[in-house]
Amino acid sequence: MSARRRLRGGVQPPSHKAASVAGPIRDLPLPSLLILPLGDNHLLRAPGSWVGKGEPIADGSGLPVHASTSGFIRDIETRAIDADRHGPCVLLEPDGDDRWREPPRPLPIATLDRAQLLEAVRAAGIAGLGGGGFPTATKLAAPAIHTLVINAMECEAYVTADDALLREAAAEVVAGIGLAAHILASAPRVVIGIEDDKPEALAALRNALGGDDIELTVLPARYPAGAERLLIALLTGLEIPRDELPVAHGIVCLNVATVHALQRALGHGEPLLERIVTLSGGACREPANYRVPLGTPVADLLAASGYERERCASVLLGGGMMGRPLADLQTPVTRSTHCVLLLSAEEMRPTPPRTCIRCGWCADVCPVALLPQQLHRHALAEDLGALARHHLDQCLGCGACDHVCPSAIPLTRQFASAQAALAQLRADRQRADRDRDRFLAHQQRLARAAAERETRRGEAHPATPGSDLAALAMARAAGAGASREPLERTAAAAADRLRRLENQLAELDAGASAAQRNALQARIAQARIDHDAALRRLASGSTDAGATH
Amino acid sequence: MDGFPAGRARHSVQVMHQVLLALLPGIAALLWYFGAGVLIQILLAGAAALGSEALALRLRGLPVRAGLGDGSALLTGVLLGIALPPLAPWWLAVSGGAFAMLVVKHPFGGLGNNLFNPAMAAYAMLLVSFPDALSRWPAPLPLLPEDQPWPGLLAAGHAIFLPGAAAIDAVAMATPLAAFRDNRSLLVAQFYAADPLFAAGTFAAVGWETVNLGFLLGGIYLAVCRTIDWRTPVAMLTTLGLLAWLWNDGGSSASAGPPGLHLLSGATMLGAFFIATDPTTLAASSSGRLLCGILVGILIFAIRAWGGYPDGVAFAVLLMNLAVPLIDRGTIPQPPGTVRQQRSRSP
Repeated sequence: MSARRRLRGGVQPPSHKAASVAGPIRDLPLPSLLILPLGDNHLLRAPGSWVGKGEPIADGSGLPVHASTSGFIRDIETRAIDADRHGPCVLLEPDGDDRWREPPRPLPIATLDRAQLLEAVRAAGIAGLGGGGFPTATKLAAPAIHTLVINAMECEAYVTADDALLREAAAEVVAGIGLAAHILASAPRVVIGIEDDKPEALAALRNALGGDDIELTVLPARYPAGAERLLIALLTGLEIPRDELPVAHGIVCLNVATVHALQRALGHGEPLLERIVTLSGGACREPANYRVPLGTPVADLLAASGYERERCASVLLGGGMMGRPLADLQTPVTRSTHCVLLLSAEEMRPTPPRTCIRCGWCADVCPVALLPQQLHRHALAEDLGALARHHLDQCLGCGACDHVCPSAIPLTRQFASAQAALAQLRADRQRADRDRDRFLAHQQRLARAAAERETRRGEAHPATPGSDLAALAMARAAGAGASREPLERTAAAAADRLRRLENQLAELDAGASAAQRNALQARIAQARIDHDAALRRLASGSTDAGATH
Repeated sequence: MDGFPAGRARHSVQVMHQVLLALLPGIAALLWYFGAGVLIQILLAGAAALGSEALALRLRGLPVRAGLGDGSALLTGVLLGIALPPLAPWWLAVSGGAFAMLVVKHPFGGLGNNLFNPAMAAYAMLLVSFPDALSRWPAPLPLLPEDQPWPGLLAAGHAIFLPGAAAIDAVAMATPLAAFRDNRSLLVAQFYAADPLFAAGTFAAVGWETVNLGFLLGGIYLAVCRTIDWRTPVAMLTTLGLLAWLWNDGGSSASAGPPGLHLLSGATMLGAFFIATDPTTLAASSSGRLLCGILVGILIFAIRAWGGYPDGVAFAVLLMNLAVPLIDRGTIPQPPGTVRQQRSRSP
């Protein structure tokens, strides 16, 4: 189990880390507007209402969304939520008081059972803060976990958020690790992996660990050794392919910031409302780590650090290797935002890409043994079959190949779009298969029905005519009954919808705008029309059925 | 345009310059033993390759300056110039350089897309077309008659540009591999003692062994810098040495040549480190590159021992180039944790 292997491939880019960890973590003044991505949730409070700090404002099938500070819910709008995605967001206007709805209280952990603890983790909105954003409660709910891997590697260039956190709050991190192990309830072996380029964080962690039964493994700094599956392989010798989850192999991997959030949530009763973000880069006047309320627009973060548009050639969301250019500075800081980079023109080095000479250095540094030069060739040819054969779906997108490519080809960007194309092709193929299966099943059903009619007709004639008529009438009645059922369902749904909308109108308080009120009334009118139509159809359906009798 | 804040390791132009630098020890040895003709051949072939590259780029509507700047055409020309006999007539180098660019490289898509190594394809074309001129190597410096000076620029230029005047033809001499091939009756030891080339040499033939050691030196430098993949030359030289040892026949008169002869004669080291390792025409994966080296080693030995030519590096490399697409298909590395799938064709 403890077979420690060397990272395959990898690179050692200049880390640029020193500047941003020189000082303490800074607090950010409250922004004038918070943008909270809604995800798959629905709003719990009506627009216009006041919410206290830490109050859940949306919940559903995704992780709950909390108010990062007290203020008023303004609206739901489609906004940029990432470097290349848009989605519905709740707009929250802070009132400036930063007042909790009710002051946070520690949870009675000892008296809670596993299910209650997992629900508490979910309700606190905790997700992987290392960048993955995977719901932590889901990971911790896995059964039979034998190893808990704690990721303190932070191998990305420029990023020091975890480093700063460990320097200032190592004790809370260690407490969080204990909580995670407690929730897993299978007494897992705990291993922390940390790179050797952050001695202060390492010392703080060692100090906090004391005599705890936790292994601490210091690994040589080499990018991308902090990628979840690679770290698991380094620490446990277990190699987990891209299409399987570590929990299926008995391993849970959590980032140090995530276990810290766990401790804040259970040990202090504070849901996840803020995270540490590294602000750095050559065009950044004061590189530092900031404690940022979730939903803060990147623009506000930049303003706090003295952002000068002329000096900055590009804003990157993410670290030096995997960060992506940010077009919309109103993009909010989310759970997975660990770094914002302001790059100067010199740092950008916009080298025009040259032709691939197949030197193969990309294959030497690829941590998952891909052949980027072959992938590049097949991606240019749009040969999706060859791309699949060359295991395109295993690409981590770590950018090690980009870093060494002597022809400056943007390989990972190309692979990302090829991956999307491949996924699309597979989805299309699956849908086509399913449609074909349905069509065939439908045809078979028709043939079967026709055959049954034939046999029934053949049997009916020799029998007595009276019984035949009765059977026919009964069958027709049964058919009418069957056709009534969907009509009843439609009518009931329409009535339900009408009721819900009317309730919403009633709940709409004085703060709502006339436009909102009008929109809701229009929807109610439409729902009423639908409802009446459904009732009419139901009535006529019954009369038809009655006429047959 | 993407930003790469972490900075890049090296550029492709630097790669070409590094390879040119690594060629210097071998070129110096060639110059010392075979005269200034070496330099003229390199300049001729280099100029022809650059000129043809410029023409091809212009015809294809590509930026000429950037294309010439990558150094690949110059490298091809230099490699061809090194392979040619130092006193060969000028039109061999010129037509070879043009052939490499206009027939072998650009019709296949230019830099990074050619199927065959341009320098070796051009050399093979010349060897097949003008076998006589290509086998005429001058005697190495220690074996020149007393009254014959080291061929300087003037004498070599005379022989190259006015091939009719046969002033230096008199000292032309068989290459070690050709000389050994013609041996029919002597034991290896007897032949080594009798032949002037081997009598004056330390490991193999005088001059040739030094040239090969020079290319070995440059090659090791490139392998240490990781500019070339060490697997191909190591596999090739091991295979060649092993086969030579097996067929040496204890040094009898039927020997195909001892390992020392094969490793330090002809274009062995040049081929191992500078020709077979050309990444464009080499397999992509590590195992594929190992396989390519083994294949070239086997082919070189087979051509030398049983083929129609004294040396076989060019043909061996070209045959390997031909096998690369197949080797690439069969040697896709398995990412960690994944299970090798049964031949599935659909993505």
